[in-house]
Amino acid sequence: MDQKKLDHLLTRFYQGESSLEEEALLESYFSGDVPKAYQKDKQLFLALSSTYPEELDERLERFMKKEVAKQRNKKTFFLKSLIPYAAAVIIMAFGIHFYREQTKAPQQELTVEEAYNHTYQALQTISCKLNKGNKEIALAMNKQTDAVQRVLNKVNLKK
Amino acid sequence: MKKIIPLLLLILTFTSPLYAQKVKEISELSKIKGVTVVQINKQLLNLIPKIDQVNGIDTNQLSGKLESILILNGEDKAATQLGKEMQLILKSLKVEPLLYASDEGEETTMYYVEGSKKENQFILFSQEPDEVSIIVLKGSFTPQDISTLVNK
Repeated sequence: MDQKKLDHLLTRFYQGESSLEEEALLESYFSGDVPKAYQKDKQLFLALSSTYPEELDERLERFMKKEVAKQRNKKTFFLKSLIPYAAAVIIMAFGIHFYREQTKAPQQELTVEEAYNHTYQALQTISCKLNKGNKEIALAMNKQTDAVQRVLNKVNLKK
Repeated sequence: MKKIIPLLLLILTFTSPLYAQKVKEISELSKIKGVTVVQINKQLLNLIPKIDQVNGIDTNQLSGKLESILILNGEDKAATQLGKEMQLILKSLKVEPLLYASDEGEETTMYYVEGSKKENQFILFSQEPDEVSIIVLKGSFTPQDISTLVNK
């Protein structure tokens, strides 16, 4: 095979564009003696064409199955180890909820009469406090008006 | 140690919301031990005879607009806690008092909180050294309706 054709085939091979026939051609070429410049290519083709042990597939499959099983066991073990903690948290949450429910003030149902009395008293209390506040405001305003008047009188006297 | 850390993390994750310092509703103060509560809802208010007058003051305008009444009262220890928690709630509501009066150790503050329709609140918060009383009126009333309770 001339160098030009060889280079062309190798370029196609490395670019992943070579056909099966071209690859076979390259393989048969590199099985013999090649110039020094192509020694590395030869090594690659020899490695590619070398056969692997027959039981390799089987061994690989077994290995992968083992790994998958290991991963699964790890996950199940992790989830299983969480169960007691989850149970403890649920029990605690129930306990807190139960305690809170128990500490709630007991509510009595009111009769219509009691409701009327309470409503009346509430309105009465509010009215009473409002009036008291109002009186105090009026009183404070009167006091302030008196004080201002006194100051004004003094100023007028000085004039 | 490997087991303790995830356990602590789990407990913290699930229980932290229970201890979060959230702002309470006024009605939640009824849970304080020793606090007496009277809650009158709309259904019960509809059943009672109309209160047109209280001590000669016309209450017709206000009582017709009431949706609910909540009365809370606490003495001694309960008063201290009730007062403290109410102060926190009022702080969170960010409302200015309508009226503040202090008389012989009794401090009374009144608030009007505007909410959505029918959800306005009038709050009377009365504090004495050993007693705290809270009255909350809820309804569609306005401050003008409240002012009808003042003697003209």
